Amino acid sequence: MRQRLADLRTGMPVLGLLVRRDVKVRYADSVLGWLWSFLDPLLMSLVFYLVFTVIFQRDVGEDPYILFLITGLLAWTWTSKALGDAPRALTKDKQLVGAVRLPREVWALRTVFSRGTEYVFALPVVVLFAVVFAHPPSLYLLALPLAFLIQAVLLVGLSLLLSPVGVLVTDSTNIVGLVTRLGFYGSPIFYGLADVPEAVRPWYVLNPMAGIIDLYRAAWFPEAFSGWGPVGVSAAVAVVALVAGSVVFARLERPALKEL
Amino acid sequence: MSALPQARRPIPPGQPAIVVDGLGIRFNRHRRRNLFVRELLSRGESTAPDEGRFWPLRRVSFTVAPGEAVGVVGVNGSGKSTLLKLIAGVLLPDEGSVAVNGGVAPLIEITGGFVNELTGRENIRIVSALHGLTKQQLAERFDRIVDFSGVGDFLDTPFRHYSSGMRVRLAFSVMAHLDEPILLVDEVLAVGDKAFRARCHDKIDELLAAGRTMFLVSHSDADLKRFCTRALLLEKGGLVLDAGVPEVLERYTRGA
Repeated sequence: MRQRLADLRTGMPVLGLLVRRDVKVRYADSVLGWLWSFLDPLLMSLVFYLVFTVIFQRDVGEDPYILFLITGLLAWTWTSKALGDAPRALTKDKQLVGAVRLPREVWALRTVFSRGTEYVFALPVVVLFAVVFAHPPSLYLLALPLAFLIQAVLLVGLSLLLSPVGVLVTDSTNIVGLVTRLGFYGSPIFYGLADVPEAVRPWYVLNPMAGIIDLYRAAWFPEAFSGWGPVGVSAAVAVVALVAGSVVFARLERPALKEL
Repeated sequence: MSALPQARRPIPPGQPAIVVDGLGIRFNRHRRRNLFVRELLSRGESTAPDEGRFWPLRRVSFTVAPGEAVGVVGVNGSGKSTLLKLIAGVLLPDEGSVAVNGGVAPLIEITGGFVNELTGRENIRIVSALHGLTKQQLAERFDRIVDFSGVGDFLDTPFRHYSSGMRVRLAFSVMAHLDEPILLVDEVLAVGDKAFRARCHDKIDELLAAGRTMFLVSHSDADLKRFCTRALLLEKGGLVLDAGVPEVLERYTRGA
């Protein structure tokens, strides 16, 4: 394990390079360029906004509701995109994986951080809505890096787990797609953690995205913050995911390389 | 040996460049359904009897000294490419070990790192960095790489507009300008037009003269005789002869 970490350090500059390449490639030929990194969550936010303010009489979430939606949706988009990429992390560039001697973990990390870069690029939209609605941030804004860190650890763990499994089990892309679609409704996105009934909340917060999104939102809606308990649960789940991911990756790396 | 080589380190004097010891790798003959559960539980050791598994390479041992040029000969499916991939460290052995002293420039799937969406220039930058060239080293060599590849005006054109010959030429050119002391060459010499092939040959001569160690997989007797001082004959995944090039070629021709 120690050897792996040392190897991984030598792979870090290459990781930065691959992430930059991904960002470049994503926008190289597109007309709207970096707008794409938030157009999707933005349109989703508008749809939910209309559905829940015009059709239903909304009694969940906070005001301004659109700001509430977009903070949750952007964070969720990072998770769902990164998990969607994870099973293909090794196969997508298999020629490169088969030609460059790198610590293979780099390929799993790369999807997480290139999607993470996209997330960061999209954050100005949040600021824009805050300005438009003259909604000042709270001191929890300082905890934003912590939320980001927990989410990154979680996604790295899951990506390490899924990338070799994706090579060996063809169905995993479909399974992951299904789980993330369900996860959307099981995470506090168009409602808040505070809206979840007390009785189920201890179970609900086992979804690590619950605590993470709640902490992101505390930056704008401190009165709705459910406290550090759920955040702690998220951090614990993230660490478990990281350990499990590392173990599975180490064990499945060899057979996965043969199947590329 | 999962350890990575210290990047760009020249081979210390008196040490072998490559030591292959009892090397073997096992593949599954069947579909990969259920493979995941088996592999997850098996911890890499063989659980089932040999049914459904085969060894593209097994019990292979040899040592290569720095500066040697070694050819690998054998019919299709005898394990040549697998051997190269194991030395390159992109496959992990199930038995035995490969120890490589110094970095490896793998000329296997050389266009692998190139992306269609980016221009030739951007691709050169990224691929050379992927293989460990620093920005400054690249700046010194950039013009030579471009000259050698002969892509000329297409440098700022997206890679997808390149002809297949141009792609390989650019890729070869980048690889040939890396600093790695060990070159692994898998059939790439067979591509490109006549003029480019001749230049590839000259480049390889030049690299060998500069003391690089080379591993060449080829079906061309002429290439093997020209570059190699020694050859390995593989048969059904085993090393059957490790000798001079003429001797190995003679045995190979007789056997085929």
